[in-house]
Amino acid sequence: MDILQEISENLQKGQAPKVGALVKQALEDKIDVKTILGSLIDGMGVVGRRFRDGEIYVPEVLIAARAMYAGLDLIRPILTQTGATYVGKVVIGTVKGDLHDIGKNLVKMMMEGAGFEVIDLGRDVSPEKFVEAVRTNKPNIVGMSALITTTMVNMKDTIEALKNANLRDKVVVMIGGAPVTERFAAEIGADSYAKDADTAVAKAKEIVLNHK
Amino acid sequence: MTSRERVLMAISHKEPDKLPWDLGGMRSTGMLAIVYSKLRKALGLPQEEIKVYDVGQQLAWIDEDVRKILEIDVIALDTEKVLADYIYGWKPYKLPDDTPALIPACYEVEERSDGSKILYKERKAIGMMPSGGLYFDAINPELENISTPEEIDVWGPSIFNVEELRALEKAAKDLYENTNYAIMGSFGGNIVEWGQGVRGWENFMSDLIGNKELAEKLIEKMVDTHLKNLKLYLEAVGNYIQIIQMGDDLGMQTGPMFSPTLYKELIFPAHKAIYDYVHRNSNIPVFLHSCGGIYEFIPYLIEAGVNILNPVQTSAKGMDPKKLKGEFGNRLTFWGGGCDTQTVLPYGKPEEIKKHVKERIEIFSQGGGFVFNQVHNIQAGIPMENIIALFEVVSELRGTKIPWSLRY
Repeated sequence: MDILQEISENLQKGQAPKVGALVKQALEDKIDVKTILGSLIDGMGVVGRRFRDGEIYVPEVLIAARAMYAGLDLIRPILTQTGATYVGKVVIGTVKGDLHDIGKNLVKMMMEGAGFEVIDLGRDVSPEKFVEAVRTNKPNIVGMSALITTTMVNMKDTIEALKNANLRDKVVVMIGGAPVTERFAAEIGADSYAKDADTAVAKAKEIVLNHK
Repeated sequence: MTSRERVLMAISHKEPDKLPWDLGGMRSTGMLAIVYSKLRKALGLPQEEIKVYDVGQQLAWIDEDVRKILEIDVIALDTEKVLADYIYGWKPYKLPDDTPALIPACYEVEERSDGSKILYKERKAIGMMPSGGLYFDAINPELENISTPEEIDVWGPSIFNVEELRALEKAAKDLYENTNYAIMGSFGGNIVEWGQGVRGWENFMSDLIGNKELAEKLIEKMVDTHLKNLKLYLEAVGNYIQIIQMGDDLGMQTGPMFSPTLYKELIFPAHKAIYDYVHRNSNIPVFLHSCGGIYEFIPYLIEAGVNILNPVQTSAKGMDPKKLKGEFGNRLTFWGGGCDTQTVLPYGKPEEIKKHVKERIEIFSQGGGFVFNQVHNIQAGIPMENIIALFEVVSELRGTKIPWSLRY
């Protein structure tokens, strides 16, 4: 089997050590680093689709993501060195007052698995921190997550803070989380709402494509 | 018909004289302390110091005066509340909105300069409430960094001691002899939630397929601990409680947390061992609290020995009330599902809430097998008129009237 296909298939099965070893070998074989990244993206793409369609569940996604990182961590320094560009850049975090990050982490894994550079601000992230990260990193998208109805209002505060910092028109605001709805997104002036990780990736790709 | 008889009749799949109603019978059927203090005001009751008996979720103990006025049918024999009443005592605490309250004296709360709070128990930091937050979320999972099954051998989860068992027995006997409520004993028996708690959520979920040996060993240890505690628990309170409450969240908003195949192989045997023990050693029905979209698991849960299901999260995938009642209504009592608390209760108008609750009651109460509760705890920030609408429609259908105060 083609080594790239082997990387993709082992990633899908969550075989982290195997993926690490194969990526190392591919690098030794002088396979272009962007091509290797392509095989990881391919594998995570399959995982994302199968998760969306209910064929696999969270545990399978988690171990696949671990396998993806086993490969990605090896090629990241080289990608940076060679100046190879990512698909796009995303700043992501769970909003202020909220410590729930399971969903946010899944979105992050899927985004990285789709070739995005993700700057993860963690959880309980204040509007000021979001603004600072947008200013410094100049992402295409800022993604906010909330699990609680009482904290999702902080998404609105973050959007206001971006406006006040004259950054609102420089970044696409995408939101998600169990209590969040399309309607709420429209109400608070977010640009995009994603109901799950797979949708988030699909929409992020679309956004980046339209803005290029 | 007494409250106790009413609940037991519903559980035995017969329609009682009126709809049985639970509020605060366990830690997912009550209300947050912040909103409970407003309820007391709305009922025209004096502002007693609210007992926050579940510090993590910031839940209020429903006082006897409220239970009497609303005519609630269920009372919790909550282990930690009992231990606070009989052993630790209570100490002053301030709710996130500064309302004075009490928490069990075994906890310490430290306020940090950034406005966040850290919760300690036995000098260990176990929870954190961010600035502006309303809950303490768990931190520092004990077994976060282990990687081999051998490391589980040295982990020693606690077993009830004699003093605790004596307190539980005394409290249970008191409730049994001096009240007519259906008494729900809060045993717990969690496997998935406990595993996620001690290993960390992502670790445990990954272990289930990525480090199966470790997961199996951990599950074995948890079952062993639960069975030791269950034996002692039933010996102490088995003659007094009418329902034993277990808990294990298996679903998410979007459906099962893991595949039904994985559940059947790894988790089902653990659940079955615990619930079977109850059925072999008592006549007490098993109540399971399990959040999320768990439709695919329900046949297994019935097979494992679950008699009563809560919170019936109808807003999650696959949890359509009519479908649930139609497919499982003759084998399962639904304890919850009475009002959607994710969309209807917070955002609906009072009239919409009443209509919604009536529809739910109509679906679930046919042929018994239903105890009314909204889906999960009533959260902070829900408009008081919505809570009044919810309670009012329930009491109307039960043929009673709540004397609301005009001063709320």
